[in-house]
Amino acid sequence: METELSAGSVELWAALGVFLAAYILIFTERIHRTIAALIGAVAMVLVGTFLGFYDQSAALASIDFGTLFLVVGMMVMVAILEGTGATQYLAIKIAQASRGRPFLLLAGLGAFTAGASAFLDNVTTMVLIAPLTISIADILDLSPLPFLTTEAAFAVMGGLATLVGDPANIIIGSGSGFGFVDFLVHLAPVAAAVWLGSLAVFLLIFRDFVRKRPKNVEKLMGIDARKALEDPAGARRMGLVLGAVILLYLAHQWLGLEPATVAMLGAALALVVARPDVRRIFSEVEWSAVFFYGALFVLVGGLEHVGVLKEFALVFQRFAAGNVLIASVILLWGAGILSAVVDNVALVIALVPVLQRLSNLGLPPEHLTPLWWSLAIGAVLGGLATPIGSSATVVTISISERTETPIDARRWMAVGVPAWFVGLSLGTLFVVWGVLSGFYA
Amino acid sequence: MIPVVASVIFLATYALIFSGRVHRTIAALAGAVAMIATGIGLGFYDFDLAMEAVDFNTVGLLLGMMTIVGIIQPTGAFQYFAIRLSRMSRGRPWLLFLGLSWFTALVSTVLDNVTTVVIVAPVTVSIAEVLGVNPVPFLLGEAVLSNIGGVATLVGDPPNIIIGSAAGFSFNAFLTHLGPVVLTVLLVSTALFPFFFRRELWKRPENLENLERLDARRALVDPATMRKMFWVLGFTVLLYFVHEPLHLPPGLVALIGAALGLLWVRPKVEEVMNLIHWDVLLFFIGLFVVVGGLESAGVLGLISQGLGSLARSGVFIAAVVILWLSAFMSAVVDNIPFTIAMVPVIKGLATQGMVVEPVWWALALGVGFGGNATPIGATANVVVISVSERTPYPISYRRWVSSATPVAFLSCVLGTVFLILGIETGWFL
Repeated sequence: METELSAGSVELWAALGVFLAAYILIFTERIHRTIAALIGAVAMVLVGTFLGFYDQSAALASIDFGTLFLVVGMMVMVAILEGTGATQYLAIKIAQASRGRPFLLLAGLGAFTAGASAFLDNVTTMVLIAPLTISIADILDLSPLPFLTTEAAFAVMGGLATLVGDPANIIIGSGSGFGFVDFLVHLAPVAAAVWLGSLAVFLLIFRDFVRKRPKNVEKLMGIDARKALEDPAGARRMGLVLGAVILLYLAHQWLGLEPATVAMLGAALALVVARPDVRRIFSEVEWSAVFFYGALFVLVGGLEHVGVLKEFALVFQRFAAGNVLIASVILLWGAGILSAVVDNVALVIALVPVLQRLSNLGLPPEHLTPLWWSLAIGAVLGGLATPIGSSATVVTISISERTETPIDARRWMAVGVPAWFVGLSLGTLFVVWGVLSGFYA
Repeated sequence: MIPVVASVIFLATYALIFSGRVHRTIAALAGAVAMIATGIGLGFYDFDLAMEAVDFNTVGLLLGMMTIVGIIQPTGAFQYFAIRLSRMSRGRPWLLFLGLSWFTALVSTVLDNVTTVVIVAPVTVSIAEVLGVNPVPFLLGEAVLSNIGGVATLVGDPPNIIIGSAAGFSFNAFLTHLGPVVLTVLLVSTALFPFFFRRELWKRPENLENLERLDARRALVDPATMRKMFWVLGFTVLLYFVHEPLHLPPGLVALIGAALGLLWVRPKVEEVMNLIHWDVLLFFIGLFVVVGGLESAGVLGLISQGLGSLARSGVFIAAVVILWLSAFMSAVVDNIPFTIAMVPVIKGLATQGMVVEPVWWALALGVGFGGNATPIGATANVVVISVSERTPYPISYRRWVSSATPVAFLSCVLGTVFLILGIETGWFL
């Protein structure tokens, strides 16, 4: 199926040219990333058809439908859950449990955000939690800024913990063959450590703020959380569906089900149980993202078919075979730095086939496995550093614009850069320990 | 055991779709998931096989054309043409019906039905809004006539392309053998539809006075974008005509058009995405997965094996049986996988010494006309139903069965008559 051509041919340069042009177009954000990726994909297939290295069926074979359907399935479930008000209900309960004390509120909402974003997508998590946070802070006469910035950071960290928490993880899971439990075992401890480390740093940054005395605590305690629950029966049913889906995820490797099958199973179950307006649910799925991922797979597939990625893998292999530790650390920080400025999905989709090639080239699994986890840690946490690095941050910033202290680049970096540094450093420690102890092998 | 389980899931899915108890997309997705999960359990199907079963060429075609339409929609171009066409008809619904459905049928003989219907349907809905009439007869007529029109030529319908390449029939062979039948069926159905829709088509539209006051140019909000998109659409249609020598599959052609449109117009991507009928796309993906499971479980193979015994009964009976069987099958399953499954069967009949030319024509007629019998029998049907669901007049399954199904039945009868005549006179041999 794959046509390996010798380097230096016209085909190679054409494919490389289309790929680089498309990626530059995506990263400069002069036009919408979905349009840029679609044009790149169409150009790659056209050039491939005329030069004979790629065509529509090869392009379709390059698309990782596991990733696409996992994303669609999760988004459908989230859209149905969103309509029930269950998330807001839980967040109010947590705020009340803190009795309005800023320290507990920050830690409590932070834990909830991280936990929710481990299973829901980060944007939805922030869209649900950020407005609520602003109202709670208003009631208590506290600035919402420390809560919002830390929540966005915690949402990113929570996404690292599971296979479904972040698109980067979904793609890595599909490409590497690691299952839900593998991610949970290898990355959830990292996410938890990064969460704790960042919390300590955040408390240090906001040391004066968290000692403040909140006002109107009785008003917060007087909120009837049940009013937030728009559809109690629906919330309960969705709770059961999500519970079943999580159980299936925990058992999917043992059952032989693909993660995408589990997600679509959950989506179908949720649709049958909740009977929502199908068109409304489907219009809430972020199709432009799905389209974008699909086009990226086609684009990178063209590169794979001319053999560019093999060359790249060969270079990397010489490296990784020599010293897996250095290769992992470089991959982690490289991905961490790049993801801060560019889309981490675009980065991961391009790097996954390279890592797959490494195993074809005979790199032993104990050398390959740490690379996968390093890529996940770097790509997911890298987005923390800049205000455009992650979708959770972007959406939180736009929500914060209605407050008196909108998040600007400086305010974000004050929280994001320390979190990024703590995250990548702790991640490095885990990778080093994991390689030396054999836990990541 | 495995074929039985797969058939049960298949039948349950279809029962759920036709019952109307849940939205057809939910039913198809639930069926697809059930088929995959059972397939993994029993070892006959899995996620990868399911993805291979999905005809992404059809999905890409729908996606590309719907994107182009999604860019055109906000410009007001559809309303513009709706007002112009309504003026030309002087508000006579039956004249509009004739014009629109024959236009659709003619275009469908050279273009894909899906492409045609995706573009004509929004114009139709706008016309109905302008005139204040019910769009259902128009949409129904367009879907049915586009399916009939597609039978006439080699390129009109995907099954014809498959049959043409398997049997070695030329473009002219299709036109001369199937053209007369298709023309007759088109005439008969346009005679029947005004009767089925007599209440709507002979009524004087309510908004006739409004029509005088409407200014077509005022409806056109964004003429610059409309002009750009006409170039894009024209270029896309041009590519369809030369797609074969260029080795560009239709799905890719539609996506090329979509990419060009997006690049040139630079619309708000999220808004365009929301105008795409995702429920239709997911419905077909689900259906392909369900039928693919049936195929992997060997059910379609069993059916074709059973047909092998037709060789003993002579070409006459074989052709008639194939016509009605494929009409029935393509009313329920997508006609592409069914046609693909029938190709080896008919080739098998040929190796047993039968003259199979009439059987190939019977297959083309059956799968082409049969799709009209049910609301989900052809892609164009699902598209117009989904479009109608965004208006106050959704097309009910009952409405479909009471008008399109008789037409489908009658067209199969006419097809049989022509087939018999063709065999008797030696024309089809």
